[in-house]
Amino acid sequence: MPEEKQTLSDLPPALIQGLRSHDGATPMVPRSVDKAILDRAEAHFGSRRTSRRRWALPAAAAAAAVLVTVFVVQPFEPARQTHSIADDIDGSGSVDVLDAFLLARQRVDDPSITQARVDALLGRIVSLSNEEDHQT
Amino acid sequence: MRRQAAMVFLCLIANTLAYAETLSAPQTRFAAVDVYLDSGDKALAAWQFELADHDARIQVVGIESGEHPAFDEPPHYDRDAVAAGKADRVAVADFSLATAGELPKGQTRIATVHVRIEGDTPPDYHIALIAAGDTQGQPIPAKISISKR
Repeated sequence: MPEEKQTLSDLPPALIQGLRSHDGATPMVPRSVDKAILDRAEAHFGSRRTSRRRWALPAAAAAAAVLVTVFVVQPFEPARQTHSIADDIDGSGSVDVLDAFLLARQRVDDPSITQARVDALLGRIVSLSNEEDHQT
Repeated sequence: MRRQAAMVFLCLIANTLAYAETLSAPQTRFAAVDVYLDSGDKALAAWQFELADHDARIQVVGIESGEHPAFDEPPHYDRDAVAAGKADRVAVADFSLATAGELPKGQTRIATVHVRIEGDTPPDYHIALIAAGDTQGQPIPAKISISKR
């Protein structure tokens, strides 16, 4: 193929000059531009880090407050926590046999109170799986 | 002769192994705990207690009613947990709507708890009176105690 064997001397001088000028054109970033870009990047991401740090302290304080509330102010008492307030007949703050007793007494005058309700309350009071139900 | 000696030797080994197994197996025994409540001069209409072993080596297997006629029915407790062998402690309660004259005063046996004990060490029972009340449902000062047998 004759085209492949062509040398530079076979090409028109204008084309040779154009190709040479492209070869030598190495893009250069001036030092001042480079520094400006770095400064702006640092300013941008640096402010992000500051923003995170600003939230870190209040978040840690809130978490600590929650932990203090859970473990100190309201210590875990699995055996005495949740129970229906309706079961606390005598309003003592705890649900025990005295509430079942009073409910059974009320049942004498109030036919809407069933024996099944009294039995169910007694069942909850002595349940080993629901001992947390003893107090409101 | 050799065969007989071998048989005797094997029997000795088998006996030794069986004896060792009985030594290593945990001892199981049954016991009863009588629970008493002293309500003083107040008529006892309602009560509730909890019994446990500090080392959780007991299994409650049944509960008997008390000695007074006002509480001759079996008291309330978690029968499902007891039947399933999962009651290493128990909460027991009962009440009576009888009149004050028909209720016990002073010390009375309110229940007997039957337990199965694992191991040779005697249980370290912990009894807690949760509530005791009079005929009006008012709390009364009462003393609870147990007697092991």
